[in-house]
Amino acid sequence: MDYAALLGAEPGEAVQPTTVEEITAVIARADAEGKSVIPWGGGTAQDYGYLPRRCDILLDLSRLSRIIAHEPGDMTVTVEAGATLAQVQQTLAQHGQFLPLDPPDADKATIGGILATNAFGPSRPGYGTARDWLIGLKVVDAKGRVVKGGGKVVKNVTGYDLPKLHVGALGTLGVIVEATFKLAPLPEASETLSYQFAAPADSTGFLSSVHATLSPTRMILLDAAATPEQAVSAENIVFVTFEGQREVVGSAAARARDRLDAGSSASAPLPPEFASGLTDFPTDASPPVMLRLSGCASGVYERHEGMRQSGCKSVRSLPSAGVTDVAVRADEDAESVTARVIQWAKEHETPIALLKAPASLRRNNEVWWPLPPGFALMRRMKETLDPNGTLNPGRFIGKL
Amino acid sequence: MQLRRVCYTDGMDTTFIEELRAIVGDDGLRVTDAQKHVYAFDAYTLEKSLPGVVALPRSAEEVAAVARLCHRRGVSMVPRGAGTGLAGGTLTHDNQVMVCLSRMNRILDIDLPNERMRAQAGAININLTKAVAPDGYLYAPDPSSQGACTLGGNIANNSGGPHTLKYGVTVNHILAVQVVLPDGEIVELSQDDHGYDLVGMIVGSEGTLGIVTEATVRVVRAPEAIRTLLAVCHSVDDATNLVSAIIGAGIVPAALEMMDQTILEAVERTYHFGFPTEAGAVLIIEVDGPEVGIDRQTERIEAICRDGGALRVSVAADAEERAKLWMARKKSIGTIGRLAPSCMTQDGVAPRTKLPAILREVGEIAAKYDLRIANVFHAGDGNLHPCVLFDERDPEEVKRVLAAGGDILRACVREGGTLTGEHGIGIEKQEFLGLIFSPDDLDTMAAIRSVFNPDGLLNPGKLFPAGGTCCPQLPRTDNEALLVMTHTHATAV
Repeated sequence: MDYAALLGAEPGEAVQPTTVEEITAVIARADAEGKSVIPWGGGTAQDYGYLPRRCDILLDLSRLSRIIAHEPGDMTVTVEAGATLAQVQQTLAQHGQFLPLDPPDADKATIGGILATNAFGPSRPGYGTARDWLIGLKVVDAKGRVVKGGGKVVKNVTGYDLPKLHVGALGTLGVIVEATFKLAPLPEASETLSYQFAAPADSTGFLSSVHATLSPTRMILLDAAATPEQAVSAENIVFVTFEGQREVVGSAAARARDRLDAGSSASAPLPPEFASGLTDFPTDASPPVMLRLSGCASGVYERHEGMRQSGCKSVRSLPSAGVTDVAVRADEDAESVTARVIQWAKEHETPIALLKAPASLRRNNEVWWPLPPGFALMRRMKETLDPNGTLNPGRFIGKL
Repeated sequence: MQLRRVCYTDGMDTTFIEELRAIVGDDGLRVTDAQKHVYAFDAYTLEKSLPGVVALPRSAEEVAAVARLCHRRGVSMVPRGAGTGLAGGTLTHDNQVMVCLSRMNRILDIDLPNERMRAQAGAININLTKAVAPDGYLYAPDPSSQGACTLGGNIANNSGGPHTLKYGVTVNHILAVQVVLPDGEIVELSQDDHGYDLVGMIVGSEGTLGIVTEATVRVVRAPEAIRTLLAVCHSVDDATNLVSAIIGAGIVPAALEMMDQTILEAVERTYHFGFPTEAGAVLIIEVDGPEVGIDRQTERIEAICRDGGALRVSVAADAEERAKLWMARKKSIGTIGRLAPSCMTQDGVAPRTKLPAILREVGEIAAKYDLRIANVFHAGDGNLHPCVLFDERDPEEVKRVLAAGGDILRACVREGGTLTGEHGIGIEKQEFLGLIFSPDDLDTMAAIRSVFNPDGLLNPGKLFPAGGTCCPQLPRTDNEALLVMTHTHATAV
């Protein structure tokens, strides 16, 4: 593993604990000695966030990976942070249940990492994000104490909602060691429509109409210019997935197809093998850089088109989530595309995050823009819960 | 007629009151005892106290000005909406200012393309839905008090309601909040912002972190079709086993509620709906979604109920019959007045599969303390509402009520559950927090409070254990001071 490429420096040491007790000892020692702790799950999102100010102890949680309890009758599961999402889903599927999150790299991404980065995928419109499913959390705080919030029941207002504070916090307020989720039944049926449209107006018109009336689980709008390896360009491509009860899925898919037939003839279904390869974004397996624009759903097509007009070659939007992702591909100049996209975002007052980037780009750019109005509270939160700057110092928004 | 300005209670000096008056105006202040009695308690009636003064601001700027004044003078504030809270979270002492947001009740903006709506904190829950209903949308969290309770109060307590089983509780529907911090700063927090989830921290913080003055909420499309079933069961045991069977079959209905015989009796005496009062319990089960497929879902549930030994299962024939069922459910706690002068509603939660066991325990606790306990609750998510019936003028009985309440909560915790699903801790359950949280957990929560509320001027003495980091002078629900207080005020209020 090239740690320096991800963290900007080689860690002083790496530990791979198998129990929560070992973790408390490691963190308590680090806090006392003024060292920093860099939590590490599957390593799939370590190129997110600023470079840590210090890189002393790499805390690898991949061996803390037990599924502690799946209670099918209660529809809950409790897992250790190092379990991968795929591993959890496999267990749940045996009882016809699942955790409805679909972030990238489910085979490698760990539960702790998914929570810490608030990673989500195209299913967000249908199922929400991690904060909607997380009902209990155990963390080791900066002093090395085990602190918990929430519980194992699906409805709970006992005390502050501590679990939410750690979702998306990049491990800067505590190292997640155990999580409890509520679950959903696996959908009875699922159907995906995939089409290529002749013009952007046709694809966005179709998506708007589907979104307004048919409650799709996933909607994706994709524009990927041709690459040296793949000569076919994939512009104005649309994926729409319906999930749930068989009749409902069948009827919604049929109504969506009717709308295509009634509307523009400038659309064509994609061959299935082509379509399945495109649902995973980006099309290039390991892009060096990815940026994410976010905002209201109603502004998403403007942002998507803005990225295309700026010359970005690989753009994907999740329209009902208001999210537009830009992948910078190997055949593009990462620095100039990044600069261009960030400038566009600022000019259009659109929040932007550098979701994936090599150390050099994260050193020289704002990873998140803008600073939110609540930033002073966020700074106080970090200073209060981690006064010595032990946990992932400098990594989070405003270099907290 | 103008109020006489000399009629102040002890604990508030006159200059301070005049400064408050300058901010909220004459009609925004309640200073006489007669006026303040209205604000002496919320829906948790076991403890009562007259606030020092009640301020009713009309804008976030006025709330902020009140906060700045209180901050400067070191006076603590207690926010309140409609006072429907069931845990005493708005109890205000005579040296504190109650900031009542009920006049800030406007809906500010409806943005259907983005499925959201902005409203002031004092807006009444049901009015949110009414504002978007003509366009086919609704605001999903629907606490039984939705005709009176406010958005701000819902946010403070992270309120639930029957339909949150499918749609999620308040926190799942709050996209942004405008908050006045205890030092008077107005800050806008949004889920769209980068950084820590401060919206998630504010929701459910029971007014201890900031005073919410506005919020942006998610609205959802009203379902195309709804089917409401009534399953009549021989016993509570049968009914709770059916709950497990339905959930176990992978069906998450929109709502899944239970009412036991005692509740049915009270409802029937009040409304004469024709409920089977001989039944041990009934379940109200609702499914919703697109028209196509809803009947198959309904039939599946009917079959599970029949196989599980339900005496009778019927589907509401029309909207009127459905409305009747929901009125019976949502007004049921109000009908308890037919059975006893007072009622204390607990809010413990148990894992859904433990419902049969926990309700048997509730029955045993009722017998042990010689009390009548009625059950009407959100069975689908394991959220109990045992209603302990009593007469608050009888101090001996009040003691037994409190002891029984404690036993019920301990039973929930023993079964792997928790203290409260949607009502909050308030002052009612403070001393039980240690059953769930370690000193380190509580210390962390206190640290989080200090980030927002460093001087402890906002809603002190609530949520956290009273003997701990805040307000040791507050009467605890298990001590004699409370009984004296209850007794004195019960006749006065």
